[in-house]
Amino acid sequence: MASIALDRIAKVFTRPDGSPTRVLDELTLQVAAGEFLTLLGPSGCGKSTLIRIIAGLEPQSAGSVSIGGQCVDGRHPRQRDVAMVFQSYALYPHMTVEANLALPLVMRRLTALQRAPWIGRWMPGYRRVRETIDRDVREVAGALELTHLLERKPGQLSGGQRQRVALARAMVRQPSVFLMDEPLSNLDAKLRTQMRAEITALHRRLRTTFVYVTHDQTEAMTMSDRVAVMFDGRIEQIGPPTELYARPATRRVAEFIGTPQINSIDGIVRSASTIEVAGAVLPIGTCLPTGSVVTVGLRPESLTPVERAGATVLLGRVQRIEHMGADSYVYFHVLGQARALVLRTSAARAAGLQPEMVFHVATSLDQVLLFDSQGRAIDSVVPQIASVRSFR
Amino acid sequence: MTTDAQATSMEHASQSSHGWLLAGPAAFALLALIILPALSVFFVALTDWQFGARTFSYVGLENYHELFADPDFYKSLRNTFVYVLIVVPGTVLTGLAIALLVESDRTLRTFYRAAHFLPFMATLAAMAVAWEALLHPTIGLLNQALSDLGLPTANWLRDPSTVLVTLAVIAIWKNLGFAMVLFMAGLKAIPRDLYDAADVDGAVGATDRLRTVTLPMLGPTMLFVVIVTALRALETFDTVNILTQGGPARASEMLLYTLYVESFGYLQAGRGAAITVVFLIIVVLLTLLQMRVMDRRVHYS
Amino acid sequence: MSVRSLPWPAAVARHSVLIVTAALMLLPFVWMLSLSVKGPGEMFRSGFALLPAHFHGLDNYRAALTAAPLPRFLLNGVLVCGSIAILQLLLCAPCAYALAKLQFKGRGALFALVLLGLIIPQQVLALPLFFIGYRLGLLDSYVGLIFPFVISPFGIFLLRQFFRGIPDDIVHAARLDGVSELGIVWRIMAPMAQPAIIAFLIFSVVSHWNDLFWPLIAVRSESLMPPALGIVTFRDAEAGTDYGPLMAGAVLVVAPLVLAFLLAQRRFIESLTLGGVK
Repeated sequence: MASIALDRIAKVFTRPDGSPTRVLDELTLQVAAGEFLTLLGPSGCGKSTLIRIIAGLEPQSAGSVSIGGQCVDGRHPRQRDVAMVFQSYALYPHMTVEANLALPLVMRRLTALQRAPWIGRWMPGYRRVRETIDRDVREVAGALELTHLLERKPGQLSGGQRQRVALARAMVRQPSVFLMDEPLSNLDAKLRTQMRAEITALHRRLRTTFVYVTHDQTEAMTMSDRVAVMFDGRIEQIGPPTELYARPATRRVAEFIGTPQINSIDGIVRSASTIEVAGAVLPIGTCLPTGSVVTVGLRPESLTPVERAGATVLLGRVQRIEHMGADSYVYFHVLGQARALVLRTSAARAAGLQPEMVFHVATSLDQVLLFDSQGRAIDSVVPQIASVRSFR
Repeated sequence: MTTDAQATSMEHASQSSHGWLLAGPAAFALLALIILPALSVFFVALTDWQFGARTFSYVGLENYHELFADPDFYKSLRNTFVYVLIVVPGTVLTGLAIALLVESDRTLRTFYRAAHFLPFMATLAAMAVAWEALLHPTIGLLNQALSDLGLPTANWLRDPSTVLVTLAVIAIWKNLGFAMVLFMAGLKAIPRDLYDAADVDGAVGATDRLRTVTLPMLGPTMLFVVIVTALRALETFDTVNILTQGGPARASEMLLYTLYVESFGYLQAGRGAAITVVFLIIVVLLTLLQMRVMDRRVHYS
Repeated sequence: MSVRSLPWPAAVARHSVLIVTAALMLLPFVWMLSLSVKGPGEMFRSGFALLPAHFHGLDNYRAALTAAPLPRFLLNGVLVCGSIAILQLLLCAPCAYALAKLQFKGRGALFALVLLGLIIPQQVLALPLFFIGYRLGLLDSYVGLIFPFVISPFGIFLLRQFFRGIPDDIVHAARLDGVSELGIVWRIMAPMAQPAIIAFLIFSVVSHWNDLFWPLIAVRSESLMPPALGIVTFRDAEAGTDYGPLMAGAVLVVAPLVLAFLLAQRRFIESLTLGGVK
């Protein structure tokens, strides 16, 4: 268990044509000891490069990495006491599961002479160390329910089993930091849900520092203590999952997190306490001057079909409805917006709606998000009485 | 920016040390045993050095002038080219025909492939001894068979008019299986739907299919096999050294044998080096051509 | 070429041609075997019986094994080919790994040298290598037979291609697991590249078992001769037409590779075609 501190990490790659590409841009980040931190972002945002820099697999162009309070710049990966789980699992295909699990211990506990082929086993102390290795391997295998697979080779395992072996290999030498690079993205949906729970449980049990890289917001939201959302080599926002969702710092974060995606529509500040959106005037106050254009972010679940018109109600025309079971997604057009908006409501409420039908949509004002023209979040003031909570 | 530069040089330093630690021994051996010796040949070719002599002097292109003024060297060059011109079409055409026949059906395919490939990997020095027995003028199997059939016999390896062709036949015998295997690989790479398309287009008979699909699609392989066979023919040494020593009357003397005799028989290092350079240039030109062909093959597949 | 089997006239034609060509290809082998079991008198008899009237095989093979140092030749072959193959692998694998997976200054230049080395035929190097061997006193020794071949550009090239196909993550995982770079070569890469390594070893052993050119230059003592040179020396010593023991010797020189080939046909063919493609 160790904290991680990244100080102004930069990474510049040289393209084949010789021009430099900045993959990481002066990135600073602290991970507390025992914390589960997720790096979330679209592909190409630099999150995998960052985790490889922490592991020591790639050198940073500038900046420094500390693990457990010690600067580890220039240190070899094996001296950093970190373990990593790879997207491809990176199991050694020519070794049995048992040998895969034992390798990190063999390399650390046996001397070079004891590791030597053929003669190694006759070196003094070999048997004693080998016993501790076998014991630890069996223990980890037992914990991850791999005992019956120890004699197999990775090629004979299913995706989920390989994933578990990769986890076990990372666990077996009890590193102070776990790094995971998209470990679940090669699994099918059902297995992914199951492994999510297992990794969370693993973190709770080991209480070790986890740094987890993913492009999947569900993984980030369900597993992490904190999530760092990355775009273009920078951290856009970092915080607990609930905070990222409720108070995104930028429009990009708001649009990246949440399914279905948040509705972003243009609005105009009409007065110090009102904003006009899609033909309706919502009682939301801002400090922007009258006439400013803002982006109004409406979460699909903050929109509700209602019976009658009102101050906080938009008029919509149903485009199509997707029934998801308990919930339904209703896609609809509003005045002055080319793109359809989406709302998420209970199947019961959506039951009366049909395509081409005109209906009323209430917005719950305390969930409305406002962004300026640069995409930065701006504060809004919502009168308490106008809250739509009563509609629900 | 200074930190940038420092970090970059640092990462280079650590990776470089690993890289050179691992590649170093091989790189040293590569330089010491291949690259520098090859370069030194060009230098020695400009001297009158003889093995064992303590001194030598620079003679410029004298060795090359002498070489190309020497009818014996011309003879060796000419023999080499004639030999290659027999071996290449002989090997390629029979190799292709046999590959087509073997691949046209499944029965006994493995046996035929093994039987035709066997000479390619058998020790040529030992097989040359067997060939000598086969070709023996009086008790050899070939002449016995010919005389039994009432056909004229010959002293195949001692007659200037037959010796080169005889050696060429042995080379074809040796390399045929190699060409066959390469053609078989080429045949496997032809997409099956091309044959279906040809069927639909009315190419019914085997010859039609051969002409419209197989042969055109084997074009790149063909070029490749031609060059590889030419290279192998150029490097012929064992049979000449064992069966004829270049004789009779230099009728079977070829480039590599000349190189060997001049360098290690007469210890004329300068002259041997000049021949080596000529040999190297021919081989390198062919190899570069081969690489071009390979590149193209990669693009097509 | 075709999924359906041939109509029977075509099948008969195919077999009749191939049987004949196969017989012609095998004729030197058969004749060699046949002579190796015939007595001296029988060679001169006209007509060509495959099987001897009197089986002389034991005498011939005994003569080959005792009169000439044939076992010595074969042993030398094993020793020289084995040493060359092992040394080549020891030098080539780390270099191929560095070229495939490590970033270092001069990597491009080194790879260019490897490609250059790939083009240069061994015979071109005979003259300078003879001189090096002479100056270092390596000629007429096992070392003299081995040293020109310890480096194989083809081996580096082949293994590099194969190593490049192994995912970087495996290398990264091994580094995190504490394996050193040399350890990655031998514990991880080499076992994973086993097919390529076996192909290379077959190629190497076959080429050097069959090589006559360099041993002819490098070695004078009969006790050091590898099989190809040995059988030639044996022939020169056995002037005359007593083919029996000579053919028995030739059979013994050819046999190890031919038997190995028959046991692992596919591997041999793949490996030797790779070699030709170099």
